[in-house]
Amino acid sequence: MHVHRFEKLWIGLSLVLIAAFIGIVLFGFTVMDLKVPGVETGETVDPATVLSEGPFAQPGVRKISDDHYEVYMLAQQFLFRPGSAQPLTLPARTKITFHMTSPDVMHGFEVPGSGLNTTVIPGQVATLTTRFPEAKTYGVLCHQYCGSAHHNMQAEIEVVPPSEFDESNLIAQ
Amino acid sequence: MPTDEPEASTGGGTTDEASGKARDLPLDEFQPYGTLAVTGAYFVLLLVLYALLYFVEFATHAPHIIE
Ligand SMILES: [Cu+2]
Repeated sequence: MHVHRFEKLWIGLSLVLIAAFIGIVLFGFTVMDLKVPGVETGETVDPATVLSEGPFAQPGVRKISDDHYEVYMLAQQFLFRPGSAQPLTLPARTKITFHMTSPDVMHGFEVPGSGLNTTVIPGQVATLTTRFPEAKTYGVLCHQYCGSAHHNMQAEIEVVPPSEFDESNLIAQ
Repeated sequence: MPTDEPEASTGGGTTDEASGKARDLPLDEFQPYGTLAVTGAYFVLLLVLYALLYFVEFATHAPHIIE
């Protein structure tokens, strides 16, 4: 089969383009050390009982160490607990691990304009760890259509300087 | 009159009346530089937009997932 040299050229360029796309992603996950949200392997929860049993029965912030807090958060129709009824307060520059699950349908968790983004699936626990670089208010959106009031499903994370972080609202381990 | 235009170009030409073909062109003498330029520009655009989306929108906006 005879292929025109221009066609050979742009077939070659297409392959270069695909290689570049893959290369950019590999560069991100090796040199830049980017991370994606994880699912706690082997750790499943029963959506029917998650509201009454286990750590999600008491969603909120727990302290692991002075530099590490964890948040058990429920994404449910149509709010985040904690975060929607009143802002979730967290310390800046401190390691924060989110554990998230849903008792009903699939939801999303996104802090717009940041790298924090995961799907929240009933029966699974999505986890991600981050440090909020500065003390300011961050918004949270649900980005998976979850029902009639999906567009109202949002929350706020109020990040305060570590010295001003009030530990009286923590949930005992 | 504008309607005379098509008739003038086909009627008065020296081209092959049956097929309308002007001349035979071997494949390798056909050199669509315009198509090559458009395709090349599109590839460059794709690469630039992909890099922008990845490095600017996805990778640089803190806070990130660190673990
Ligand atoms: Cu939703």
